[in-house]
Amino acid sequence: MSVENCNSKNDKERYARYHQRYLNKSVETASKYFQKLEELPGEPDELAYFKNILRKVFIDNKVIRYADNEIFVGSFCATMPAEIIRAAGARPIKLCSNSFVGAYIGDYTMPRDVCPLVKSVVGNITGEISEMYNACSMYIVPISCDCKKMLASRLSDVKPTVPLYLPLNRTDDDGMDTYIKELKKVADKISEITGVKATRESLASQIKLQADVQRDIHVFLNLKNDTDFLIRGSHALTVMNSLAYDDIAHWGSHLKRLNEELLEKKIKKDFLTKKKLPRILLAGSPITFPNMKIPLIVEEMGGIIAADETCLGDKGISDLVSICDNTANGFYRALANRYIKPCSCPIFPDSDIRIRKMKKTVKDAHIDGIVYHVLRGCVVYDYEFEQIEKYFSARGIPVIRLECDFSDEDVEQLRVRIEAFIEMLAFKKI
Amino acid sequence: MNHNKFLLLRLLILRTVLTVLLLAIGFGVAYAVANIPAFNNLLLPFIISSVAGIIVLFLLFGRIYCGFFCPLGLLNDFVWQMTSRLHLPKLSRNEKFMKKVRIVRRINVVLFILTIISLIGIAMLFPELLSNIHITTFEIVTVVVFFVIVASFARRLFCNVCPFGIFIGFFEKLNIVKLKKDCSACTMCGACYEACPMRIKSVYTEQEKSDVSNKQCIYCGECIKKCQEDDALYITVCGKKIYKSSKEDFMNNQFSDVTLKRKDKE
Repeated sequence: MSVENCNSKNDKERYARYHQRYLNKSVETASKYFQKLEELPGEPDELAYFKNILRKVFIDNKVIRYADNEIFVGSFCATMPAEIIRAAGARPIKLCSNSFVGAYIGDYTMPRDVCPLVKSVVGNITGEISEMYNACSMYIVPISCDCKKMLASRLSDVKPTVPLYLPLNRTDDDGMDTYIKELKKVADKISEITGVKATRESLASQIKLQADVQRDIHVFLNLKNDTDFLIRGSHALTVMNSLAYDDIAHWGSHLKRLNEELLEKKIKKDFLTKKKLPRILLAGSPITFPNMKIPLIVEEMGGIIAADETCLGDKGISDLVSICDNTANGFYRALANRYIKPCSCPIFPDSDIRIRKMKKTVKDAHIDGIVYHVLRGCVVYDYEFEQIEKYFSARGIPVIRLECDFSDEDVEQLRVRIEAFIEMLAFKKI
Repeated sequence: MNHNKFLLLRLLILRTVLTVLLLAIGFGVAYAVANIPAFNNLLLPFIISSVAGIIVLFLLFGRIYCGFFCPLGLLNDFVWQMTSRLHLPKLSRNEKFMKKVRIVRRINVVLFILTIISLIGIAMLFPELLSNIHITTFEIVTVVVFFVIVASFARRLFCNVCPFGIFIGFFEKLNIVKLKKDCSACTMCGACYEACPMRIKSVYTEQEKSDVSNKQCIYCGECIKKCQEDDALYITVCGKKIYKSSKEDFMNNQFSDVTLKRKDKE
């Protein structure tokens, strides 16, 4: 569905009308949720920067650009090292999309049962409703779940796409060696477009830059883990989400200021509420702007989202890179280890790590209940639910499964179920 | 020189001093005892009892001798740190390589035992042959140069096949020094496997037991240094924790082994 495929002038006009309608609806949805975000009380001053990023990308439909000749490389998943993209001279953008209009357009061409995130990506590209997909010079698709396999072949029709084959057997040394070679190939392919080769020094400095920002992220997570309510979960999600579209150095400096502001609030005991509300862990399929209905409803019904286990939230970026060897090969090995081995994505057959990490989060953040969000069609996350529910219910942490897509139609049903869940948690707390 | 490099240098100096002290005491005692006339009759029993005492110490403390006191190990670590600035390519560390190393290890143990038996046999049957053995400076320099070259490409490669270390490692169960792991804190990031100079994988893959000591571990502490979770790995002496992993320490020392160009340091 594109203007080239239209045969006659009537078709071209019709396409232009559809396109405008879709664009308007997409901006309208984003504006609606942005408005809801603005109306939430208790916003820290520094949040304005992060909200501005979301507004620019989703409402003004522009890419965040810091230099005229910046080259963007789009990537997906938490398994593609961003340090390599930056060392090779490009800027990484996370293209995982939760746009309802995108999923609606993608529905025309993709099979019915495909996960809505992938439909949304395809819809954004073929419907041409999101500028950041157009601004990328290349897409890198880690072959993680089934839907990403389909995505890699579909995207290669549109722009140069590099599939990154992941090792599924993480303890096998040969598999990891092959993955390290794949990473080097990807770095070379990016260098072909940008003209900048990833050297030992550039890799080291990018790893150090990201490590410095990760330090601030850990401070931020510790502030969220506190039983004193300093920042709303929806606002924290805005902060973590905006990293996907922004340059990490600028984002990091603003996060530092946000941390300072929250620390001041903590010292002055300026909490959002003194009541001990139920603390909730948000887990499961990724949630990004503008699909903020679950976080907003949870907070509306009197819960606090204290931690976020989704891959576009806290868990995707909190592992640190452990460097054992000072050579360029050593840096690739360190990156390969950090992005694959502790990854809690359920695509890996041995996903024991996921429960362990969740257990640690539940303990550190004093969690009372888990909201497990599953996108309709996301089989891997759905599969994990039974194990997680059995494990945590036995230890006194109730788990609720919410299956939804990106539309607004199920908001009322979600509201009823979440309200009941939070009431139960509040009752248990007393 | 930043704070972390200074700490590393201090540790290296401490280890050199302790090793030299140990060697000096050993030689000094042997020389002194050999030269006291009254002890001439007691020389053989003294030697046997001190050797027995040293063996017992090794059995109790185990391969921490390798990690901390052994002069060859010290030379290895020193060379590795000094040549890290040259960014030489390093030998691979996967399981196929370790299979070959294990074969060399077994051959070494057999050779070592045969050498000891034959030396004892020659000493008892043909003592005059022993006086013909001269170790000149040439031999010592050759061995040292070989060590230095190998140590730049693979950290502590000799320690993987050292027969003395293997002998001490046999008695690992008697050791009072142990390496322990809290499997619930571990995120299976594989840094301990990547960092281990003895290329031990069981510390990384173990998910249930809390005691991960094994025969190859030299208690160098690299795995603990590179572990980023609090209290996931720790060394205990008689059950008391003496060195444990911590996120705070990890974040402060994350780039202590990495040389960045001067302008990247800003």
